[in-house]
Amino acid sequence: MVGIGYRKEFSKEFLYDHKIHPDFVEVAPENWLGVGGYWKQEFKKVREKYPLFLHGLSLSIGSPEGVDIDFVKKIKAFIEETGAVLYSEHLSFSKVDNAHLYDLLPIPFTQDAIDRVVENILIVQDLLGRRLILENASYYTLLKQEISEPEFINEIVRRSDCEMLLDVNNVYVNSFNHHYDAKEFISKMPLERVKYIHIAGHFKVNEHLIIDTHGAEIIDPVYDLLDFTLQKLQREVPILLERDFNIPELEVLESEMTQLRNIQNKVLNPMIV
Amino acid sequence: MNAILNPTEKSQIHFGQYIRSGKNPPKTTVSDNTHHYRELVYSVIMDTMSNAYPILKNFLNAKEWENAVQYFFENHKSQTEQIWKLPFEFYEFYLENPFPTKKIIPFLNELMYFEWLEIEVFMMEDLEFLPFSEKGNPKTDVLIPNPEIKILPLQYPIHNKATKKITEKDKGQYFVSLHRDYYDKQVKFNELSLPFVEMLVLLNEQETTFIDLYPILKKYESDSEKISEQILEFIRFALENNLILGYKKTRN
Repeated sequence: MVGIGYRKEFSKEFLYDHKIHPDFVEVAPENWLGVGGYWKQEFKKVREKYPLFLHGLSLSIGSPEGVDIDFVKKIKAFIEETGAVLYSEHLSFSKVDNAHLYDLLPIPFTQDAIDRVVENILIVQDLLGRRLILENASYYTLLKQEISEPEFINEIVRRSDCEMLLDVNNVYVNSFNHHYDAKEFISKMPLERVKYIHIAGHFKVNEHLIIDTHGAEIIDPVYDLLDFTLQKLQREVPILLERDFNIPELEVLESEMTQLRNIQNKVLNPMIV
Repeated sequence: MNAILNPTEKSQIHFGQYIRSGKNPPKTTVSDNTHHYRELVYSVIMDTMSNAYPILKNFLNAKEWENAVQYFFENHKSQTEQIWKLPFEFYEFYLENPFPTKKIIPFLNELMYFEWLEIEVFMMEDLEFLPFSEKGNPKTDVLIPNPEIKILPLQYPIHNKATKKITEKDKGQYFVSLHRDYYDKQVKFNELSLPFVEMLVLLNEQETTFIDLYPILKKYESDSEKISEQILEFIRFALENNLILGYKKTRN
């Protein structure tokens, strides 16, 4: 299964021109919660046509002040109302000092942070009545680092019993920015817990920094990393193509999705391809 | 939250304060990259406000606009999880706090609320529509209003005059309605007279027929024939502009 992030920017073409054929769509619940009128109608049409995956932005699982219970309840109601297949979020924080910051900020890789994140995840899972699926975040710097990123992620997954969204582009971006081996990193992930994969393009600022923009086409090394990941997984996991900025013609996105399906087929059905 | 913070929590709070203010960056593992977070977040906030308040932005110069957004972001703890609702917090913040420009803008609050309402009416949850028929008798049938409407009383004509040309001489009493069109779901504006406002309010408060509107116009006009004409003119205008959807369906 290969899906795409549904964007208001291409809604009309997406719904009526049949230029793109995803197996599912993903949206951020924060953009649709409590929305009526025109967009409610369009969103209903999208849901009638495609299975819906939700990928949240504002849960802020790494917030030192804990998670917002009322917000989690709203998310739960939205999952039920929309019949979403899956709800995932980010292993990051976006709210601190009682202020939302509307970006995915890296949680310090410390034992204190792990304790807090695990506590937050357990609360959310209890309220939702399902396991959280958390995405490995991209980061350009860290506030503190006592342990490695794989140790950080593995301990959180193990102690909270949550699941994982493996963002292959984030692994690539982090490996470039922080000089590590992306394949070795993926090998250290709790792969049996991976339920969902994200892939996207990015922006290379200079020789030392890549920013995870979701604003360009996927580059070959990231496709290679997906291939490697699927080889390790040896099972079908839904893959999402993220494209949030500089959105090209839908045919370009369709062609990227075809490439993703080809990689998936090659790995999972090698005799057929 | 526990008042005793561990070093991780302190660092996260420090980071958040830096992102909002742009001041006193924390020490991080790759200090050269810390500023990217401030810039990424600030550009999201700036884009959100610029898209929500295009008239206000255009009225101010670039520096004044930047100051207004920055002062808000630094001094306000954003509460909404949904960033498209943040412009309402911007409006509320400047109801309580001085706008950081030297020039006095007498219509500032009205303009901000007007611009916010356009978003709110477009995005708001669907309200219940009573069943209606497009055909009916305006003189006898119950009129069914469009409930998805906000009416804004104004002192300055921000809705129909370029803001840069508005002066104290324009000060007066204006009413503008913003409603979500029943058919295409787009936001439409109408300038209304006070009697029209009163009639619309009544329609949205109770089941209303032609005769119920009569006392409203009687306050402004003594000639009963003229009153009837004006009520019919109101109903025609309101139907044409989707402020009234139609007539209550009668049981067959």
